[in-house]
Amino acid sequence: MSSTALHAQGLTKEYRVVDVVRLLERLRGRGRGSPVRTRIRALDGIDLRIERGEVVGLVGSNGAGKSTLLRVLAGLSSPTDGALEVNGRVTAILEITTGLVPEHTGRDNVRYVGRLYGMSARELAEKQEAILDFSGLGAFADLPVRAYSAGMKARLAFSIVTSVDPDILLIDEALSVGDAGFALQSRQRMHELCAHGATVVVVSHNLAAIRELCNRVLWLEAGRVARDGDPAEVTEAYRAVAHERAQEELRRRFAGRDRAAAAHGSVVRALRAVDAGGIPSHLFRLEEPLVLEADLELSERAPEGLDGVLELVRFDGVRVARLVEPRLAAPGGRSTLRIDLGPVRLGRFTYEARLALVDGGGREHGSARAVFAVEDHAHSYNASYYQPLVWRAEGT
Amino acid sequence: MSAIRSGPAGVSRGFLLLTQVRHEAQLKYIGSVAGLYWTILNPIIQVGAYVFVVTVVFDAPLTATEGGRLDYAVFVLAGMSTWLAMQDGLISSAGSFVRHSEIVRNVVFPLELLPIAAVIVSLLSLAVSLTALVVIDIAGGRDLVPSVLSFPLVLAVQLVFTIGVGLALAVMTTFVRDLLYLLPVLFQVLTLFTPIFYSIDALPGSLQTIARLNPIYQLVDSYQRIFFEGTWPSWGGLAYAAIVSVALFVAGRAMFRALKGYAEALV
Repeated sequence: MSSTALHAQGLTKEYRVVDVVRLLERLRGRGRGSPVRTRIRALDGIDLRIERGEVVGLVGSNGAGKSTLLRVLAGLSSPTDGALEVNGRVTAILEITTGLVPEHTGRDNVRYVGRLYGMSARELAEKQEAILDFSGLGAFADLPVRAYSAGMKARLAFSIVTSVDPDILLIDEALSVGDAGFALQSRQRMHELCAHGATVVVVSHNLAAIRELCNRVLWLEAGRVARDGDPAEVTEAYRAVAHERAQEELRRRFAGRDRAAAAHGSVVRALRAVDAGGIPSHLFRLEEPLVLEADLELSERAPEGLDGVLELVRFDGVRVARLVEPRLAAPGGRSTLRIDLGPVRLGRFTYEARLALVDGGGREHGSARAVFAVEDHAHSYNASYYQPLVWRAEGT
Repeated sequence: MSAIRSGPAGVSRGFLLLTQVRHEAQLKYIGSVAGLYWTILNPIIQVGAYVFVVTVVFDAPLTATEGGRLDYAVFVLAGMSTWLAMQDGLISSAGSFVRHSEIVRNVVFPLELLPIAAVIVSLLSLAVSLTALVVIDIAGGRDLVPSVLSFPLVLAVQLVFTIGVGLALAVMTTFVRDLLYLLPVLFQVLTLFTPIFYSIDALPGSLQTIARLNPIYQLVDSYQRIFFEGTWPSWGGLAYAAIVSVALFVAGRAMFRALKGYAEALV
């Protein structure tokens, strides 16, 4: 047997999509000019050689062609052009609950789905109990699958499908099924499969999991291989570009959203989030230093010692923090206020920061808002971590 | 280019087919109260309805059989048994890709087994009506031997025909779902135009020729001869049906191979 498990040359997949509504309009003599048929090139000449035993991760934005490539490699979908050579028994895990029959019990489903995925009667007899045991269904194994929760179905299906001993295993986003406990279990199962010498191709948006699991990563972009190589290098390059794109997208979406309001002659002219380098940013990674910068213009008549009130409001309306700096020390006239929040410890979400200057009587003397988002969550942190903050204003 | 969907390498196709046939049969009968009884009741109800309409409502002369009402019922049942099996097999294989869309989309599985399993399951109802026929025949003192020896040949032709057309229908349905609604209506009309509850001699000359061109009629005729008249089938007619069936099978298989690659994106 050759040492190459998968060998693709110029693999191309084009979907032709017919807009039936437009087609009918066209037949009735209306809707001229608008195209009835659209071609979507999901894979654009992919050259790829995967050796036996390699564990390859596929990363890329939505619509980059990851799933299509997996389907074509699995033989589920025929390529429009190009050649594909497959050496070995292929198992594909694409949609996790595939093939489960709701009327049958979990036990019967193990038998049926196991056979579908190519297990022999003997293999099944040997593995059935181990599969049910791994799924952790307990007494539910003898109830119809109809009665299962979505998580239980996913666990059963995952247990069955990963019990096949394939030469080549293709997995699409199946790393995160079930509850936290099962997710850990399934991660271990994945490691076992990889350690068994199977050739694995796995698609995931979980870059940490990809880095941990794979010894090679492909980055797909618009149906082509943008980069191919060391997991740490490729995922980092991909993350950087994805981050840049998300940043751009947020800038577009929140343009004009950072605004200021004046009252009683005092103004917070602008509020913005800036990164460690002092560059305005809308997107922060967890633990990345975040500074809020405000341009102030205090009237001479402003009462001595306005309080600074900073509110952080999540976009779903939940106020995660209200932080007050009494008698904010700021010179009259124009100044820049820097509020250092330290490393960002907020859950992955979009936030609006609102800074207001308030006098002793509770009257607002000007306010401004800024929007920023936090990505790459590991844990959700409580805003109380921010105490105490360092507030410092300098004349400009 | 590798063979697309050659199926999992670990097990034989026969094993997969068996698995799928069992599954398909269970799906078909699992949810209904009477389960298997429907298979028995369906031909009885259909045949009973035709016998009632023809002999009681229209009070037509029974030219097909020249015998009594029971004779006529046997005649109708003989033709109807193969007809219902084919109709059932074709409609259920036409829907097989849609019904098992999860397999089509996600499992590396030899897809032709889906319509083939559907056709094989439809033979269950044929077995039931044939058992009834043979019992009535023997009770009525008909001689089935030796003509019944030709039955495996007739059944083979019928299977080649049904599987060939079923393969084509399975992939066509993924493109045009309307077939699922069209087919039952089409079969209803075809039931009337195929000499099943009347003799072909009742048709005017020109229509007789057209009716004979229908390979399904040749199969119906063979069943009528074997299980009603107790004679050998018309060899010429059967040979014609065999040739047409093989041609349809080759064409259906070619169509299946050409189009199955698209099914995954459509179901």
